[in-house]
Amino acid sequence: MHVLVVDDDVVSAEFLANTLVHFGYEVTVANNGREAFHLIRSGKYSMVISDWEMPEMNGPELCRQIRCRQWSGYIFFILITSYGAEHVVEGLKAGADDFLTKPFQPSELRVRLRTGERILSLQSRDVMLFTLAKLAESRDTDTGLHLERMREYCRILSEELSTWDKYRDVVDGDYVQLMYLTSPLHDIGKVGIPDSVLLKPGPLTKEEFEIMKRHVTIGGETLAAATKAHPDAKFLSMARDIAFTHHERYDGAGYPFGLQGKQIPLCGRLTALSDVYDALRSQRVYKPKFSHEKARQIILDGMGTQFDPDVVEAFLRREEEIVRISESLDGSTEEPPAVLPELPLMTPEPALV
Amino acid sequence: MTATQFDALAKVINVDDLMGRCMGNLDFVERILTIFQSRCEEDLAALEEAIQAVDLPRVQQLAHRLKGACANAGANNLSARASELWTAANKEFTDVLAARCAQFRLEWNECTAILSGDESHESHNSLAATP
Repeated sequence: MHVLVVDDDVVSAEFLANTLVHFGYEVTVANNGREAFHLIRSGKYSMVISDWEMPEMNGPELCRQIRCRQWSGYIFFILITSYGAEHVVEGLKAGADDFLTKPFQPSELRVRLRTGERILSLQSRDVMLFTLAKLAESRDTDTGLHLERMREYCRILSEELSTWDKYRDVVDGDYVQLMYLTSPLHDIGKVGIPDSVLLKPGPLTKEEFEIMKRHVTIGGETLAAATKAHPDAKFLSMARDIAFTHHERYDGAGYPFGLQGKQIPLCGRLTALSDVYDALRSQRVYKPKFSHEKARQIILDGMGTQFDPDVVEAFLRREEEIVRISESLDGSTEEPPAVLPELPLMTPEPALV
Repeated sequence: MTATQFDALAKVINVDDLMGRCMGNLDFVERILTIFQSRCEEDLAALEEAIQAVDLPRVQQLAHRLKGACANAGANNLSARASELWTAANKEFTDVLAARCAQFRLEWNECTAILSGDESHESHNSLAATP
């Protein structure tokens, strides 16, 4: 990993560079913030260790400049200072991730670097998961920004439940984050569905629908195998549960297992509503885009039968945000038809012949 | 570096601390001390000019850099002196800057004499590094 050291004090810079090289990092030294910012634009550095006080551009300003721009990846920023703790708040406001005090101890530097690496690796995990989901989705060109909207709906709904007393011990910030991270994988099993079914521009036959339904087991089993290999990775077990159960119904009439009520993992119940809402609000070859009011009514009609009543209640409480997401992440380019035919739609799958 | 040289060094530099931070690498210790000597000499000369010109922002910047460099090299007493200079510049106590800088210069010269192996300058107990 390349680390950029920014310090106008050559003694301090030499110390840092030598220690970093000793720990196995590749190091570049810049003497001020401006020079550092120029180097960072190369995209080569994901970790920056900067002095606070420097001519031309100081450490906090460099950090602010970095945070103001969109980079291809996160840049972990450590500020070094010989000032007291009162500067920590200023550094945090500028966007610094961590601090070192001069003169630093190599063991402390190592711990700080590991923290940075851990955070950067989480980012890589998140990016890879979403990339995987987008890759699976790319075969189905009908869905626009479906995954982007889905994860937002799931985040909003789980966030709402996290404020309820009855979910206090189940849904916390970590759960919300995991929902956001893993919900885009719900349809990952569609990679195993033949084009003739997945891309069919019209209603499916009964046999084709059975093939289409297999995407939940294909995705679920794939993620279950990954979970077995990495049993401590909570995101994998949640992704598995979502892939397996997002077509289950609260009344037990769903697939693939016919699970009922709370037998269906909460993440599956949350994803089920989000998925259906998004399908209703999107245009498909077999249906037009429904208004929010119409989609809302269909969700309400499914309360206690298709959907968990608590999840529907969460949906109603955060309705405004959901509409905002639906509209701001509307990837469709076509106008909805002037007259909406009355099509019953209780699953996001293509309508059965 | 001989044991005698190291003993002399311990009077101005907290050698244990410096060795620890250099992870026991003697070559690295020597390199740091060489850079420390040359860079701080430049900064101190610039600081003296800035004080004469009553350029307080420059005095602050240089005093702060000297403070950090001395602390990094384990020259804790010199770092404390630089910190006093920085505080005085920060509070615009211009009347004390010249005297404090002269004191820093005196201790710096004695420190560099030891680092260069010319211990005839070394006479002050105040140079002893804080362990």
